[in-house]
Amino acid sequence: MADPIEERARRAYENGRRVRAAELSAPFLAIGVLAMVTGTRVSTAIFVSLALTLLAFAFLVRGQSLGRAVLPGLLLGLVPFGCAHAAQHVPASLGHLCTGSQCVSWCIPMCAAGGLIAGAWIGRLARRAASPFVFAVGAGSLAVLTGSLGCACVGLSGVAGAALGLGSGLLPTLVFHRRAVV
Amino acid sequence: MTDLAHLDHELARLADGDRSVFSSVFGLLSPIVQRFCRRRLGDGPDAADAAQIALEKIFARASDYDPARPALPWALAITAWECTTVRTQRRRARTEPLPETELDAELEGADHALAQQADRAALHEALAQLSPSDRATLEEAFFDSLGEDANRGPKDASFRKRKERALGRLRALWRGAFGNG
Repeated sequence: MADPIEERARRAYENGRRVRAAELSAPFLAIGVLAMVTGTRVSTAIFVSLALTLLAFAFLVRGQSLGRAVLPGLLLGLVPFGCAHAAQHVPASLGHLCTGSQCVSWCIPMCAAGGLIAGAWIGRLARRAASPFVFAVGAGSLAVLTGSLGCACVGLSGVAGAALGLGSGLLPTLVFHRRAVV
Repeated sequence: MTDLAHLDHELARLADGDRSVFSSVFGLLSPIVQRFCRRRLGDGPDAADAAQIALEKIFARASDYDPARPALPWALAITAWECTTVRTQRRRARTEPLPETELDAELEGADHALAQQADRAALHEALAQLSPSDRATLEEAFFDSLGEDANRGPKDASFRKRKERALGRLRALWRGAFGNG
């Protein structure tokens, strides 16, 4: 049977981690406010920023590679987020991006490009992490959530564009380092 | 790897979230904290209470531990603070002054001697953490103040500067481990 003092210390450690994670992840709600200010639908901004904060909280409580993935994930998620907002300011004269058979809003390719840049960057950072696969998945999921706050400009297709771009950027890391955890 | 370096390494891993080293860190810290509390508060329930609370606080704050700093002074600073709190609580718990008796005076003397002994041990601990050159400077300054080093003549400015720096480092170590009290 474990020492009761050790058990209390272990509980104190877990509580300490939860408190610290809450302190560090609470400011992430501000991303939702930023998204609202820049024109994202209120319900989407609230839902996604809550999901983002909760995921960051869970990662920070867990720590190690997942904990270290939080800040890069959030910051690099701002790349597709920024690209989506830049797309909204494309002059009306440029209209849509047409590729022969169909035309799409500029938002989707911009989100995909932003996602690709973020994914490649996360992959680069992941190579230096202790668990590259875990780091890449953690940072990637946070980047998709952050990016989707901006890429929801054309509904789910914008979010899918960002996720696809990010996945493509991350693909080499996910493939080459998967063996490390499997 | 020495025990202290091992503790630094394991606590850094725990701060990062590696739960597998918890028992190892607890096993390294627990006896040190308990010994420290006994030395500060004497053998008894107060020391055991202070050690338990200190251990809980150390682990509650383990995630804030900065791996660039040595773990032991960090843990002992939390423990020293807890000992001071327990001692203050014990003093405040005596709401009515006890009648002054010969036995009380004797006990007070013993308590004072114990506290002095603990302080002296703590000073030795702080001195041991100084570099050999700092220790030599302080030793020389001490004998100089006793007038036992008269043959060396008046001390030059560089010695005074060295002494000030060594005293500064000793004060910083003391504050780091035992607070400002």
